[in-house]
Amino acid sequence: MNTLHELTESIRSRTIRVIDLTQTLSEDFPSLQLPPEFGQVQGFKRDRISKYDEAGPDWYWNNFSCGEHTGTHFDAPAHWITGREHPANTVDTIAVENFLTPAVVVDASAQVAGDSDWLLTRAFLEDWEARHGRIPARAWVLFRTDWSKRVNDAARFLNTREDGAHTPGPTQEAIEWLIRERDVHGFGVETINTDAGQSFRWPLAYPCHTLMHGAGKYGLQCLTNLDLLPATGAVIFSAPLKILEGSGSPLRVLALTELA
Amino acid sequence: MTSGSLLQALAQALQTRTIRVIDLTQTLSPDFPTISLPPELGQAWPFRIEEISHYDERGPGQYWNNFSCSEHTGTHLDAPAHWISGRHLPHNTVDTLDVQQLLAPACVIDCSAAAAKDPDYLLSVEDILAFESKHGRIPAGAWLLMRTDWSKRSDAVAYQNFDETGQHTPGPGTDAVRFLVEERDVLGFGSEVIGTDAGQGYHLKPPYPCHSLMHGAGKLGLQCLTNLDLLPPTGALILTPPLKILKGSGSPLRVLALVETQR
Repeated sequence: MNTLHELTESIRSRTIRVIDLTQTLSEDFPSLQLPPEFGQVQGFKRDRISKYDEAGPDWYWNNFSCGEHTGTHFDAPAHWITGREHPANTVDTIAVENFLTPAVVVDASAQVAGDSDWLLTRAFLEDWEARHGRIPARAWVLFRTDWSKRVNDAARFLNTREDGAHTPGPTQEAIEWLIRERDVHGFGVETINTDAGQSFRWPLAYPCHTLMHGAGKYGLQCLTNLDLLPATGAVIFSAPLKILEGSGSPLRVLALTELA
Repeated sequence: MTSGSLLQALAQALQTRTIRVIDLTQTLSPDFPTISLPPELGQAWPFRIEEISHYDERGPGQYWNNFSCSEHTGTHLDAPAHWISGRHLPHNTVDTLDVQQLLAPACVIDCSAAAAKDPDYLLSVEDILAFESKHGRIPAGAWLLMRTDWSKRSDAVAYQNFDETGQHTPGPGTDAVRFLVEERDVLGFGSEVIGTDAGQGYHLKPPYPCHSLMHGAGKLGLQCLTNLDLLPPTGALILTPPLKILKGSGSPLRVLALVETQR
């Protein structure tokens, strides 16, 4: 039996489980807010076309609007100025093989519960590797913080104070190590930002955006259900909409996991 | 890596390209044609895009856009709640569909020669039985994809193909839909045109049989697919994850196919 046939049968028989890592896209989902002098990303809005009524007697459907970076979404390299010269740097031109990739999950939920500005360091990653093995090249690194469990309270999810957002993220050194020493596929988070909320103050601001996209790598934001994934062994399906020259896209992120 | 031998094999096969990934999605742009209904009915928005910033004063480090469209713009999935016949079914919207179904095998019936001769071509039960005599029985839970090469019509007028009597595009006949639902228990029906039903499907009984009977049975639809000519008749695995729109009737999506490379 070939691998694809076996995969198809295992999905059907549920010995491979499909886990949804996507937050529901609705008017209530919190949107990123930038200082007022900058252009703003739209929240999700919807406009009913018909619901089995005079505007469409037999059918129900909606129009909608949002940003490329609304809800659970994918960041392409062109989203950041450091990735602007990469070939195939937008969601319509990235080779589709990149949308089906293994992932490792680094659990820092206990640390983040005690400190919303907690930073993922190289030392923490090396300690993770001592327990779970080396992070394979071209794998997603998914940063589990359980932040997704705050989603029903927008204020706690954004966690913004007068000095900016207070959300966890990676240090510059950790990102440099993941790129140079581990050649990861990209970095995925449960918060609205692959970078820490306070990283705009750092000598190199937004290191995850700046360095990952500069290296042609990807980002995933507003993930959920990372607590249902094994530390290693999951395969992530993360295919953005094929928006012409799109910098990113809301998407459905699914994980395949194997029953032990 | 300790877990998962099959998923490891998958990852390896993807890396070595013994499993290839094929994009079945049309590019979402303002130029992509949108379904158009009689003016007294509500209309689906075409895709529109508006720049937020492009490494400029509106956002010096960033490029990004806002966009608008309908749940049924571009390559898209139809959930059962899209049709009145599916309105009371459980898990009938894109946010509540069983995600396990979003990866499923596909059978591809090549109707490209027939559709080239007759834009109103209707897929028949005979076509399906002829396919099965060559390629085996369509398995329960599989997509039935109707290849017409309609996606190669890059001109929007030729793609929509309206005349004074309405739209002329191929689709399944009522008997074929009934057979696929009742005798084969397919997951859904996919098409290269802008509707799962034929352009003249309103005149069939029941009107729009693919929408009416498929969604009434809790089955799905895929529209505006492309690259079906790159798929084998059987053996492809199709990935169809709609956006998780709250109570969404459908969604634009990226459709990918996994195919085993011939050895």
